[in-house]
Amino acid sequence: MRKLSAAFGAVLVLATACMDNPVSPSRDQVVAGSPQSLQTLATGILGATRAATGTVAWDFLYGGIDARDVLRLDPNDNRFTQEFYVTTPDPSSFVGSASWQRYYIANRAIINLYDQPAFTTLAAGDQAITRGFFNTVKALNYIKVFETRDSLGIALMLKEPSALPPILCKPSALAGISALLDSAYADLTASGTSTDLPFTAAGFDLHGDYTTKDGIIRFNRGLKGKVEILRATSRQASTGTAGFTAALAALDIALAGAPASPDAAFLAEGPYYLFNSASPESFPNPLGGDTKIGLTDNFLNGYMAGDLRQANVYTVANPQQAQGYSFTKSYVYTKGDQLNRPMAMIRNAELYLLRAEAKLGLNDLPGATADVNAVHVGEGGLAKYADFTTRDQAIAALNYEYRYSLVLEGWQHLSLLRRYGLLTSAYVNQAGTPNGGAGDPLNSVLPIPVAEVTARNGATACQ
Amino acid sequence: MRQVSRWMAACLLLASLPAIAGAQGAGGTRRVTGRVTEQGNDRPLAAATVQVVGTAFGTTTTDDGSFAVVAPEGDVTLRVRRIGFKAREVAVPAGQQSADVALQQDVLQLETQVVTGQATTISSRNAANAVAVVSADQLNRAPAQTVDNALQGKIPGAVISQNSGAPGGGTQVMIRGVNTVNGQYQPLYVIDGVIVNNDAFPNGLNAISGAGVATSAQVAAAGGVGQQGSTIVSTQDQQVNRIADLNPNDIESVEVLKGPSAGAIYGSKGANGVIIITTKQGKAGRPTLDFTQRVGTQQLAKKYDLRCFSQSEAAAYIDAHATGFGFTSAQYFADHRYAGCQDPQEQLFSGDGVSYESAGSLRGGVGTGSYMLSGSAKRDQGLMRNTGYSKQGLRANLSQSLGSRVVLRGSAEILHTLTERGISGNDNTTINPITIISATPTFFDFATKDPTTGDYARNPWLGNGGNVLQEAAQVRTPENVYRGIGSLQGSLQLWSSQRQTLELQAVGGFDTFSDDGRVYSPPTTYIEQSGAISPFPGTIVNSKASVQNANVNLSGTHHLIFSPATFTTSAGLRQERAQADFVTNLGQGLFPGITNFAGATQTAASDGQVLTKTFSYYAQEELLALDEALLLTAAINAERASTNGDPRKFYTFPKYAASYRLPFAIPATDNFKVRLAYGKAGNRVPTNFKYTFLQNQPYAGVVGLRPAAIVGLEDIKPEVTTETEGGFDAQFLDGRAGLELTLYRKTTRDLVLQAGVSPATGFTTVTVNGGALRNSGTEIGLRLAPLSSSSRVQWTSFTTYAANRSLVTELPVAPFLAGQLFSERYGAAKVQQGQPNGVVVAFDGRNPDGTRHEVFFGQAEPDFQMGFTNDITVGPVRLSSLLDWHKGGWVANLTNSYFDFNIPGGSLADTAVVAKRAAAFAAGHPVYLERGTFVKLREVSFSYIVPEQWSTAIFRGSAHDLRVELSGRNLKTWTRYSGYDPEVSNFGNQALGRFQDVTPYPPSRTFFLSLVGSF
Repeated sequence: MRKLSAAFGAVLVLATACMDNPVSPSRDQVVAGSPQSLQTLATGILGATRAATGTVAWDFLYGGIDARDVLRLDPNDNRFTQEFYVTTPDPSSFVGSASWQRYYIANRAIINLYDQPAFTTLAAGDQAITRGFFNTVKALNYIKVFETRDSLGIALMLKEPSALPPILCKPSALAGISALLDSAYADLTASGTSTDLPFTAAGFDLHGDYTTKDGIIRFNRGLKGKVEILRATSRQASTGTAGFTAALAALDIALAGAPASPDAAFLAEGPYYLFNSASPESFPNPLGGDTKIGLTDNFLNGYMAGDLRQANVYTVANPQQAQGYSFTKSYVYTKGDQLNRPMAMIRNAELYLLRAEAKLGLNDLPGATADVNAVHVGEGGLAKYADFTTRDQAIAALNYEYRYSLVLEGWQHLSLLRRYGLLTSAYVNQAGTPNGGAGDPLNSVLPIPVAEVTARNGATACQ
Repeated sequence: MRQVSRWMAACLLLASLPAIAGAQGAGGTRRVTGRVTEQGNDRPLAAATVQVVGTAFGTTTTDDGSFAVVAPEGDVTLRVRRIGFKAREVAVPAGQQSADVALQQDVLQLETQVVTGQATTISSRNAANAVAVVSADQLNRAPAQTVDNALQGKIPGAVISQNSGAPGGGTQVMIRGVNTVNGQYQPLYVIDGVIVNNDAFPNGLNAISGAGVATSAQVAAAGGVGQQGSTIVSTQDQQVNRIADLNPNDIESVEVLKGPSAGAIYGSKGANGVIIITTKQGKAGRPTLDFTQRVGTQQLAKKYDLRCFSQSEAAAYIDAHATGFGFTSAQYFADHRYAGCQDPQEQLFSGDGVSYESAGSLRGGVGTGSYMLSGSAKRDQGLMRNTGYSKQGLRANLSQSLGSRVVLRGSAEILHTLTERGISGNDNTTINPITIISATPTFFDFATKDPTTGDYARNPWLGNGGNVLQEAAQVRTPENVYRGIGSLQGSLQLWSSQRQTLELQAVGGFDTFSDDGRVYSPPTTYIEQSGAISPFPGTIVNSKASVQNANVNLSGTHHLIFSPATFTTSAGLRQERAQADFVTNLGQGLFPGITNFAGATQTAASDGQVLTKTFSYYAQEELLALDEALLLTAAINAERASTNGDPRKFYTFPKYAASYRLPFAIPATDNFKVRLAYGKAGNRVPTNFKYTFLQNQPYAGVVGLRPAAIVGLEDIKPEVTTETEGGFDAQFLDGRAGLELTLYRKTTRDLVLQAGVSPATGFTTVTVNGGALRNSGTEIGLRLAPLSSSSRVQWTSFTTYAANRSLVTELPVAPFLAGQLFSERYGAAKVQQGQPNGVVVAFDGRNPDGTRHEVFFGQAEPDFQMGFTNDITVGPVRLSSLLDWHKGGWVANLTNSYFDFNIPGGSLADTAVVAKRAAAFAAGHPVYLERGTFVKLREVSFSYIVPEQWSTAIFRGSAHDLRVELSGRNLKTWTRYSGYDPEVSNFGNQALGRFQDVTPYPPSRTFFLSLVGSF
């Protein structure tokens, strides 16, 4: 590992004498403290963050498969059914090892930035807003990893690349992410007159503006609210009321000025990952054009009459079958013309639902109802719920909104099922879902990848 | 560098001492003439060497077998040698002016010349290493598509495995095990002194197969329009290593230096063995035109036994499993009809068409020059429709003596190959025909035509509608290689006396080729239209690899010969340059009929460049003493390379060897030689392993960079393998039996490891030099001539045995999975201390704590392999055969999983086996890992020499040595392996983990009828 450290120290001492690789990048073009080099490194971080969600990981997909909302039928690979419906994800394959290393690669790029002249030569205010921004992105990446591993725990990277970060159990991991977000928040509030990022952050001003100090703070506090909800609903060392309170406070900032009855456009606001199928970037939306992704009957049968979100469902041109399963309908994101469709990192619809959870945790059922209705009406076009009178009513409504507003956007629905103990309910495990019966493993987490297990000589129990 | 210079100076000084000491004693000379003939029939033998023992005097025989050699006054002894005959010594007393010599055929080929240095050879009688030699006759007994195919089963200690049955090659050669984890693992190829490229370049099949799911690095570097996470190219493109371009017909002999103890002279490229190919040369005398004409055919060697459905079973199946498709059995039968039980394997892999090969060569001499001109054209039809392999080649080898001191030799070869391998191997778009077949019930007939379009019918059982016959008819995968290999050799005899010669040799050569791959998948196929490949129907990939290799060797050789000993001193230098450029363009969204990249609506491109420079010195001293019974050799090579961490540092690779022919007779033996050799050789540092790159990571149309996940090693150095080899060669029964036994042990240190690190550090891999592994083994060769006489009946037999065991003895990093793999559920290669290198591991059930239970299965390579070659000649008839037995090893048969799962109940006839296997797999057992034992009838050849009077009558006296041959390759395989062929590698050539079987191109058996003769 000492060699790893030494090598990392030379990460940017690259190719000026690179006689056997004429195409490697030039050090001089990158490390100088110029706006161009800052932009190049910032773009690299955002690209790495986007890459972490797609390609092998299919971060938008796997949670939906485990929640029995979607399925992927591939005659080339039975693991999309075998490892979700029959057994458990294999930690050595692309299924079980997903959503792990790429997020850490992205976060390493963030840590790397802070040592580069492109960053250190910035004015203090610009450094603060830049650090506040990227540490918020870093926290987002950790949250993405956490959602896939939950009770298994995750590692929070250390600055020294050769230092092996411990795998932290859920409470510690979430506390660490929460602290990181607070640190970023402090940076943002301390940025003084620097109110805009000193570089272009594409995708952060697509639906709403999250490139300014205020916008980044809303992004930051939204994530903070999410983390605090996860902490408060955790069955291990729950932060309870304090957690819900902290979540509510953060989410109130994230939704400051938000209308009580938002429209679909407002609910769609948030920072987005951008996808671009055009050369030379050639990074299409991983869902777009994937004809093997479809919706389960269980999901289709669950729509309330008149739900506008049903318009996103379409009948595929050719039904797909494999391994004894089949589907005829899919979701708009998988259409072939969606290659460049941006995907939300977190958006207002989720923030309303998170705030509803916070209010539910604080026994504010009317408040929770209002926030659920914001989505129920704003995106579903459905009649408002009357104020919930029981906790179960609220959870059922939350379940519905998470399911139908955030399908194929990540692990949010599965995470909710975990939070409220719904994984083993008849709701998921019923006829109409793949397998859907005795023996269905109802997986709710991905394992720690074999590469991580091996590197730790098998000692991956969280601390 | 200073150390190296000192060593070189000392070496040269030592070498000069015997030269000075022995530079006396030259007296008067005389001339001895004679004739060399074949014992038993008095046929003159041309090109035999006649050497005056104990002197530097020698010559070669002319076309009529005659010679004239200068010899000292007094009694002398002539030593006469010729390839294919036993050497013989003849005493010529003082005053005798002539000596005729009859040589006895060496039916077992126990005596050949083998390479010992850059410019030196020695008789195999004295060789201190077990150098394998394969003659042209042995190489070409049964037509093979490529040279490496033709070597299968003929080199003890070499595991030569095809990657699939696809036409055009794709073969891996591993000699005495694998010495590396990440470095080079294949031997070095040298043709007439030119180091040639054996890389494999992908053609872009990945653009339609989506097989290679990219790493972030690959995504950023190459993109992947329409293919989530895939790249334009991948290592799963079923590529061909380019030694396949060579023309076996031009080869005179192949010598194999198996390890560092013999290959140390090749420095950091010698660790994996060296295959030295010598091409046919011209010969003195009148022109001879040799020709070969072959025609052949091929058959599917093995297929899966597919499940059939009666009409009622089909109806039940449809009604139970096709609800999602919106049709009932009645509707299905109305629209698509029940087609009984079709076997699309037979429809698709019918091997239609005739293969052929025409080859000719013109050899002769004019004055002091000679020439060999050859040309060939061949076409090997593929099993799969519209696949095949074509090759055309022209070669000219010229030699000219300028006076008595200078000899110039030049060779030039131009080659063209066209490979169309179709679609095979892993895919993620359901375009592979085996995938489609496994997912389609056999009551659908792929040959059904759509009544509206006239095209093949859409497959109703797949979302993408894939029809294997439509794909075969419309998708094209041509790969054209244009290659030139040339060399110029010169030797200058600076000084010659009775006791000494001093010669300078220079060799310069080049190997350059352009590999133009193309994949064209038109928008008219169902798969393209379905969007399974991309939302833009129609795909085209143009890939181009340009390779330029060049090397120059300069060397000097000094022979000092006096009564008790001969000293051969040589020293020289070598410079090499190897450059490769690779460009790929992908276009998607094509209008029907548009086949150019510029006409695509979506485009992407990638490129790469590699340049490696190497420079080395070498020196060698050989002592042949005690009446040529004792050979002692010492040599050193000092080399630097641009891929090393310090490109200016020289690494030294010495070797020492000794052999001794016992002067006393061991009972029942004619000759017994013991040998011992030690050598050290390196393994090149893979290109760019010393750098930690900034990874291109564009976003929103803007260039971005981030640290790569792979950490390079700034001071990286080459892996070093030391080998100790010992054994004996014995001859029995008056040369009718020969036994060679070799034991070896190789230790490789400073392994270049790209070891896995905790991904939570933000890196995936760190490059380190460290650790060690060992390969040890046994090789036995037994040659017999049970029936060998001057009579019409002759039977020779050559049996080989080789076993290699590897062991990782040190590992400075945590164990890691190596090579490319799918998952440990199927089987993967692992590097772990105390286990074989690349030990096969798989999950089998669970541990008490719920984690997966990892089981070690053993090495992927065979436990041992044996080859049985037999030649029986009865008068004009000869029957040759080669059986190749590989015992053990493992194969991950993922192809079975396709047939088990892709339709309910599985696609195979034995549904009980499918059910059992599927249940066991679901329970976490590694049911797809199978033993890879097989016995293959590699070659069978039956030839008949046409009576001279017939050939005279047919060709009016102008033809002779006319032969008719019927031959076959891979005619029969005996194996319990349940897949197509245990010789398989989905990921092509790789050091470890090449045992993945994923929907490969099936194996074929080939038959050829040949007419061979001379004018």
